Amino acid sequence: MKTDPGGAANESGNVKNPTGVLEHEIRTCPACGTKFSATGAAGLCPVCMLRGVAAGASASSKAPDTASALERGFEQRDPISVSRRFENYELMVDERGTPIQLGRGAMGITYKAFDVDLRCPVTLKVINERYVGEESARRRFLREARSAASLHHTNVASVFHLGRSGPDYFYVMEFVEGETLGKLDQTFRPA
Amino acid sequence: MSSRIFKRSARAFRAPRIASQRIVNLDQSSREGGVDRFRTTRWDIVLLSAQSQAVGYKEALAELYNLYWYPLYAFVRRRGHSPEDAQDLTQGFFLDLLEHKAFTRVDQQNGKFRSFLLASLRHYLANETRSALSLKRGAHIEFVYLDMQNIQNAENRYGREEPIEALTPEKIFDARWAMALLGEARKRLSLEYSAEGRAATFEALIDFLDPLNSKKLPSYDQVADQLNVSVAAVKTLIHRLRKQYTELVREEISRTVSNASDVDAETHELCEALIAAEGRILP
Repeated sequence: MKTDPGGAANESGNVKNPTGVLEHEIRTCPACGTKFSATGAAGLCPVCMLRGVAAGASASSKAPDTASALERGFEQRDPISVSRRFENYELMVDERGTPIQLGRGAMGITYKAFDVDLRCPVTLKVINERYVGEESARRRFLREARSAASLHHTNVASVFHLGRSGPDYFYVMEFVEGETLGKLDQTFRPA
Repeated sequence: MSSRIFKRSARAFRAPRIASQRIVNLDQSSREGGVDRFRTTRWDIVLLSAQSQAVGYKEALAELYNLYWYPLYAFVRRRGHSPEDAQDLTQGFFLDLLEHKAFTRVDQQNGKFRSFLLASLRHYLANETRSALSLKRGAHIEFVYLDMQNIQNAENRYGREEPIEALTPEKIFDARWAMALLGEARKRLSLEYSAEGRAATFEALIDFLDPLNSKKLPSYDQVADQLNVSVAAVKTLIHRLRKQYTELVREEISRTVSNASDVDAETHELCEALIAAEGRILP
C-alpha cells in the first residue's frame, strides 16, 4: 500500500495508481506510535482521533468549560507537555528545551533522563500520554516492566527501578549509547 | 450474483431515511451553536423499537446497518467465502435480522450494536446453507441496502487491504468498524460545514484536525489569507472544528451503545483494535 511515486496526483494532492484507485501509505503517528493508513498529504491518526474523544470526555466531566476541556484532549498529544521530573530522574532536553525521545511505541515513550542522585544518564520509559489514567493500560505497562526486569542478558538493557508518577507508572533502564537496532539494520542492509 | 436484488437496491437504498421520520420518531436531532445537526439513529432506540415491533424500526435499522456493513462484508470474506457469496450472505444476514427474533436475545442494558451484529452474523453464518440462501433470494424483499457500486467498492477495498494473519477476524472487524465510525463522523462534519455554506473553510482547516500527521500543514497566516480572516480567527475556527469533530465522533460511538457509560469502554476497545491492525485497514 505504499504510495506509487509514478502515480498521478489529483487536486487534493492524493496519489492515484494507473487504474485510478487512491493509493495509501502506512505512517506511524509521532504522537501515539500507532501505524495507520493515510492518503496523500493529509493524515488522521485514527487512534488519536478516538483518544481525543476519550480525553476530551474525561476532561469535560471535571471541568465546566467543555470547549477548553475538549481542546485539552487534543493538546495532550503535545510531546513537550510531558512532566520533566520523575522522582530522582530528570528528563534531559535538547537545545530547544524538548525532552530527548529515544523511542516511541503504541504503549510507551522512552526518554533520555538523568539520575540526579547517582549523576548518570538513564533511560526512562513512561506510559504514552494517550493512555494516562487508563487502568487497563496501567496494568499492561506494569506487566511489561516486570517482564523486562526479569530479563538478564548482556544485550538487553536492565530495568532497575519502577516508580510512580501520580497514578501511573514509569520504569528506568540502563542507558546504552549508540543507535537503535532499527537504524543499524537500515545502515547495514544490503542494497 | 443476485443482480435482480441489487438492481432493486439502487432504488430502495435511500428510501428508509424518509420513511423513518414519518412513521416513528427513532431519531435524535440536535441544534447546538446555531447548527442543525444531521439526524442520527441511535442503536438503543432501534433496539427498543425492534423488541416492541414498533412501526419503522426496520428503516431505522437499515440506516444504522448501512454505515457499518463493510466490516461485516469483510468478515464474511475473511471466513473464506467468495465475493459473490459474501455479497449474498451479507445481504441475506440483514434480511434475516429484519425477519428473525435476534433482537429479543439482546440485553438492553449491555447491548452494543457492534457486538450484536458480529454475534448475530456468526450465528447466521453457522446456520446458513446454500439452499436457504437460494430461498432467501426468491423471497419477498422489502428492504435492500446494497447496490452494485457499493459492492464493487467494497470488493476493491477488500482486495487492497493487506492480510493480517496475526489478528483474529473479530479484531479486524473491530478495526474496520472503528474506521467506518470515524469516516462517518468526518462525513457528517463535512456536511455540516457545507450546509452552512462553509465548505471552503472546512477544506482549509481539515489538516489541522491532526496537525502532527499532516505532511503539508499550512501556516496560520496562509489560512488567514485564504479565508480572508485574522490569524486569531483562524485559531478560533480550528478550535471549533476540533470541538465539532470530537462531538461528532462521540455521538457516533454513543449511537452504537446502549448506555452512555459504555462510550469510553467502546472507544478503548476500538483503539486497541486499530493499534493491533497496524495501519493495514484502509480509511
